Amino acid sequence: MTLETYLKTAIKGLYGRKKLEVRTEIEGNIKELALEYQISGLNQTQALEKAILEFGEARALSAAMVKVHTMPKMIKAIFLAGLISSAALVGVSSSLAEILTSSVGIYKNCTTDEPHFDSSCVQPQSWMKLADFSADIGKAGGTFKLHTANSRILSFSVTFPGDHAIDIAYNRLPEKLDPEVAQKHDGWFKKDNEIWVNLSYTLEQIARYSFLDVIFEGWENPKLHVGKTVLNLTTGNDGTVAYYTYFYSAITDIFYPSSIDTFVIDPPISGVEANRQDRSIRKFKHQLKVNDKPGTIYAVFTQVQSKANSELNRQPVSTGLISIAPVAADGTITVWLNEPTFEFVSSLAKTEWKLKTPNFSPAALLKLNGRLDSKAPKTEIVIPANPKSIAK
Amino acid sequence: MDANLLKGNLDLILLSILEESEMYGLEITKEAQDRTGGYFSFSIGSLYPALHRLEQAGFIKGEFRPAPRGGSPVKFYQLTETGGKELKARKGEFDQFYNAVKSLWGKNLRGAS
Repeated sequence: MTLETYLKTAIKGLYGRKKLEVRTEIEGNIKELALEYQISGLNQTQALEKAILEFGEARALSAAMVKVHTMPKMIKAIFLAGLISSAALVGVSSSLAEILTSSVGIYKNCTTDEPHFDSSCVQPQSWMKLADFSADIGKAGGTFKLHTANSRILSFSVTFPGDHAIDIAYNRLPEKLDPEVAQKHDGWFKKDNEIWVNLSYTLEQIARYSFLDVIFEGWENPKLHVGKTVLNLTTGNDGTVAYYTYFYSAITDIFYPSSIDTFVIDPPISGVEANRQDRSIRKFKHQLKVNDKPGTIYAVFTQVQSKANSELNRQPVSTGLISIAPVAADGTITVWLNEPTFEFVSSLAKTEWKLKTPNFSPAALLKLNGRLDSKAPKTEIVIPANPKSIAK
Repeated sequence: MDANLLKGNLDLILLSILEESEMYGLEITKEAQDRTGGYFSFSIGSLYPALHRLEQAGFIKGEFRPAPRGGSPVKFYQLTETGGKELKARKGEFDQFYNAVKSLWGKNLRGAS
């Protein structure tokens, strides 16, 4: 049975938003389970088949879900019908709770000055004992806090004085996984009662990439402090400033999508070849024609969704970033995405928003920040009434 | 184990697992298996209706978030305050039941000796 068939059967009898919700949930979990099997050595097809099988009978799932979600409503409807027929009209209103999917998690950093071995920016030498890592954080004046280390997830946070905590989560790798193979994957495992974790961050990186309160300190010193822990900071090779984060589709209703005029890859070689040549940094160059006055500053929000991001899971992954760049003499903006992802280039889907910021200020990003952080007070969110009026 | 026994105590099992930290469906299944040495082993699909029922009752709340490795979102569940109270009450009931059954066995054993 294919995943699509399974999902269709599993949500049969459900309607509207609930149908979509259940489908999303089941699909996400099946894919996660399939990933486990892939890590264990099965190929993608086998892994997916096995995961579907483990989920059990789709029709039974559907029947149980229908019972949970539609039976009470049917009973209510029958009750209401009785009321209507016997007495006056009853007004029925329904409200749908908003599904907030805007939680932001920053999973990993990709720096532009270090070699990377795969799309997860994992470096073999970054495996270390969690206890040692924790001790190092302490020596550096930070605080390490372990949240969870269960059969699936290891999560912890690191805080340095004056900064917000960096929350990090890793999937547990099978213990039988070959250490050589494990090195290529992000995650953690337990060996001899010690937790080993593949840290994409070195201690120095953590200190450097801590998430700060927003004050934009200018081009020479590209620090951007954002009120909440949302954006990560790095500097592109061309001097533009990019703020990496995973921000999914939360901003789609703020900035209108536009087409990308050109999308080139530099260097023009395959990712594998780039890696072999130790030229592992791939740069994706975006050129947007805005025909605006040269020197006008734009903040360009880009979301790149790969259909097959890593060699490990082949699952869609969204990566977002914000780049700030001036309009060139020919009326274009050039943005470089320094993205060390290799094999998925041909399957990239691109969505892009641009916000004209003649006088760029942190407030522009604060708007975004407020929208992204579901816990931020709603009053901080300023959604332009007509996005097109500010984006040319 | 007896499927009816599992079914009868599924809510208690799920609430107990979520007492410690928030998790999504697959994690909950694994956690149940791991913490009981494989004793609680149920088909993963059967878990979701129960979770949705508990959510409707207000004992847990779910939130869609990206899966740990990215990709399709999964729904993370966490215990609500009401759920915490419910769990406490159910634990009490279960303890009472368990002790009552145990006391019956004690009587039989004494009679047999």
